Amino acid sequence: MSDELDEIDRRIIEILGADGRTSNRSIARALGVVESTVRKRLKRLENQKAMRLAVVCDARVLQIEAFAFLRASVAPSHTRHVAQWLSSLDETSFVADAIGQYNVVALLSVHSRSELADTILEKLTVLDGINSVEIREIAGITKHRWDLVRIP
Amino acid sequence: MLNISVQGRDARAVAEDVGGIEEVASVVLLLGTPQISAMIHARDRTHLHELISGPISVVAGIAKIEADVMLNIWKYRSDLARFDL
Repeated sequence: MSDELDEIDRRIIEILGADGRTSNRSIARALGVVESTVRKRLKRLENQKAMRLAVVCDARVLQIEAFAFLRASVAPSHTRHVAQWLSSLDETSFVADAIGQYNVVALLSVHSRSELADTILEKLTVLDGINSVEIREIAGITKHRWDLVRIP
Repeated sequence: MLNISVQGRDARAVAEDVGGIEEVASVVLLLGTPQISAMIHARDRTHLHELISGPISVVAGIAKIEADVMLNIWKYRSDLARFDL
């Protein structure tokens, strides 16, 4: 994602953000452009990973109700391996390299506190290269913008 | 990701105020210190600095901010949300 978006791109994203099932024809009518313009722009926006039409599910429907941040201090030679391994787990919904005391940060999103414990106590302890781990259990969610994400 | 320590005010009220800032993508409450973790989507380091020293810094009750700056995002699952927020 590098190219700047113009006003029409932004309006298309705004309309689809409100209702992802809006037809290209309706978008074209709302913006005063022809339908092929909308179709081409949607294709370009998706190709450059500026936007994506996707299903978002309420975590509670999937019984995902326990969340914690995991911050790990990992030996530099193992950072990539640890981050990739964490990414492969169903229990993580976010994994990143970071600068600072902890160089790998992940968000664990699981069904219960006992699953959280299982993940931390069983799975993490078998990994090489982790010097220390800090867990911050999430007590409540105040805000979560699901219309603004990183598209890999 | 900003780790925000709160003093002199209900951490939930501070979290609400921080969440009112557009560039703040998520705000969660933690048990312990820091009490709040906030994910910021900044364009670049200058923008990040502007956010921290501007709208975030004026929120009442913030005693300390520590930032984990993400270098590379390996996984960002975007199909999960909470619709009750």
